Amino acid sequence: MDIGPLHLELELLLWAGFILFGSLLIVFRSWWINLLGLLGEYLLLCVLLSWFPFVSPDLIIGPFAVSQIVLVKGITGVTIVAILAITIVLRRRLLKEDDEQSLDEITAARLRWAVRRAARRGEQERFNLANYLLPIAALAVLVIVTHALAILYPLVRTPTMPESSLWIYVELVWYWLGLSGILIVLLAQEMQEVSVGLLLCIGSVDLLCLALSRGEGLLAIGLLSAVSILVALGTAYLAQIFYLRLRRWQLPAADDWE
Amino acid sequence: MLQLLLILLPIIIALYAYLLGRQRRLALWAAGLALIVEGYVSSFVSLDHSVRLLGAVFSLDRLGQLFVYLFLFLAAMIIISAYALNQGEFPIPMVLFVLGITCAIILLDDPIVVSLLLEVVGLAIVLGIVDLPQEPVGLLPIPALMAGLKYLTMMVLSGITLVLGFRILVAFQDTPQQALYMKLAFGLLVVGFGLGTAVVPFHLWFPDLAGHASTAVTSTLVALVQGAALLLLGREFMQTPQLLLGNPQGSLWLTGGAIVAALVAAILAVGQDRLKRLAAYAASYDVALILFAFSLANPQALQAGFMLIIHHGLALVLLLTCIGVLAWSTGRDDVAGLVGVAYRMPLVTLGLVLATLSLAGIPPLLGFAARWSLYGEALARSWLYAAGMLVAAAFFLLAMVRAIWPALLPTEQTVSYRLVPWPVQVVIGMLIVALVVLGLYPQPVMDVLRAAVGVLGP
Repeated sequence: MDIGPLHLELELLLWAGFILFGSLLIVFRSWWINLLGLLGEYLLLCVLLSWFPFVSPDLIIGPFAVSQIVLVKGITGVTIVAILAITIVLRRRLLKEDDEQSLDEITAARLRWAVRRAARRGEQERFNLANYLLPIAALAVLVIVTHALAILYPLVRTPTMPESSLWIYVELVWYWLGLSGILIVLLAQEMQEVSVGLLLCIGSVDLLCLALSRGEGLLAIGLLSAVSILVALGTAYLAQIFYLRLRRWQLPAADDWE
Repeated sequence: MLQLLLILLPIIIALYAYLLGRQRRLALWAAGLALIVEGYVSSFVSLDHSVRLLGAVFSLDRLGQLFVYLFLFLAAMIIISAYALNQGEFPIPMVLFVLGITCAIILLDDPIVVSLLLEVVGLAIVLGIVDLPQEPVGLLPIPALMAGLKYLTMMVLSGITLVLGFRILVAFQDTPQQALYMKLAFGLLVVGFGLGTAVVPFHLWFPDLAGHASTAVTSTLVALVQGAALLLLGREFMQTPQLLLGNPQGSLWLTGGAIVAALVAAILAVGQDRLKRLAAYAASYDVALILFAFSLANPQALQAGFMLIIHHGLALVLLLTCIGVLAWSTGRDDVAGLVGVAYRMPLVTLGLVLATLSLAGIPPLLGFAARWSLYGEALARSWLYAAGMLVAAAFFLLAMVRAIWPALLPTEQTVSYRLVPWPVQVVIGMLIVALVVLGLYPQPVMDVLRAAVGVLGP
């Protein structure tokens, strides 16, 4: 089945998977759904990398033969998701700790009023479908823009690359990851959403670099993974301090309103 | 393997200093020892002898050696003043870590790896931003955290833009569409360096960051990180001259844009009432001029550009140290806090004045020596460039005079203050001497730069 330059094949399913997991990141605000989306993107990225003609399996793990590059990327993705998950768990625990200082009556009343108002607003927002319209519309535009950019401005499908139908999908995926990362950073309402956006951008550049360098430059590949982990750690650190600060204000975070 | 020692020694001592935590005196001694050994090692590394590790080549040339010495000196100055002014536990390990990575940036020849290392350095500095000893971690102001997040975001975007630019540059070097991809790579590199070094219009993260971080963090950022990034840019323009020469339109945009950026940064500086933010705009103004020097793409301008990087580190560390002293001594960093300072802290005032004059390019300081040939080059291209440089310098002087003027007001009106610690006085004195001596006699440094530009240049 022809859809423009695309053909219904395994790569197309992979591309659909990227869009599906990306939509989980863009449309939904729940943290666990977002982490699932991020993990999915990383795993699909590993699958895509393993299809590169110059990425050959050079490591035997039990019955499986995998490439070291793919293994490094997989470990990086799982580590990043683990860091973000641990941060969320710690944040919830931090907010539940009952070591609040005693407040005077007026401050306590003001805080109760603020929490009630925030909770009311949270309820209204939860049941309002209109909140999903902007992200869904943005998602649709993003898919079209990705497709258009991949066709109009190819960076991977150039005469220097070996003949393969894979490169159109690589083109689509790197544009998709970069653009969806930037969109998530722009729409972010929490620190960790910014980190997810940045991680997608790094993943996009990582994929493009690997395609253009044809697997050369192990130090660069390793450093890109290190940078991804550092970004996750850095934002997790900032997010922890941020929620520590919120606790001192004795106001709940957005998650606790639900 | 001395090259690897240059990189690993500061990083290992940084880890040690970090683990020492509140044992700041011990961390200071360890750092001092590491810097001395580092200086000794860097003088014994055989120049232009390369070592291969993990597919990357490490080698040190005369230009690199000069910058290793400069960064060691600046790191020592920052560490001493951060310790004496009690700027938290993180500055010492942070400066050492950044120094180690900076040495790696100087030694490595792979621009993609270097771009990623710049990103790593930027992420490490985020730790320092939230380390404010006067604010317990749980009570850090939200704007400080937001400034940290903004910085982290910008560094990541800068890093990936640079990686992308360099990768495209390498991948399409010998293809028929080289000119097109060269333009794309050029644009990405300009945006990447602009974001990383806070040139107008990519500067918005920097004043916020400088306003909330300690002066040790800002000094590290300005002297080591911006210095290393600008060194990489200069080397790239030297080694790949077709990046500018093969793209006359882009080159023209960069040259004109750099002058406009310097002018806008200087004008924005006039409106600042907080000294830390003012220093950030001063750095942005100075970086724009360095970018202008590199954009001219000829040996004299490149030489002036490298000299300006040396000046950038010395002058801005002096300015920021003086501002750090004022913030520590009077408890405020606004312009009104300077009232009467000239009578109570004459050395600090002298440091502020000399840093300002040097950044404005007034003789006989290093800023003038570094810019002298640049004025000639600018005039040779178009009088508009030279006029732009002079007007930007005039606006910058206006901004600084407006800020420093209250220092000369009568002592009776001054706020309460603490005496300046003697180690910081020594640091200010040494930086002043460096600016004056190199301004009066820049020849030895110029010779090294001339030789380097001759070897690496087109």
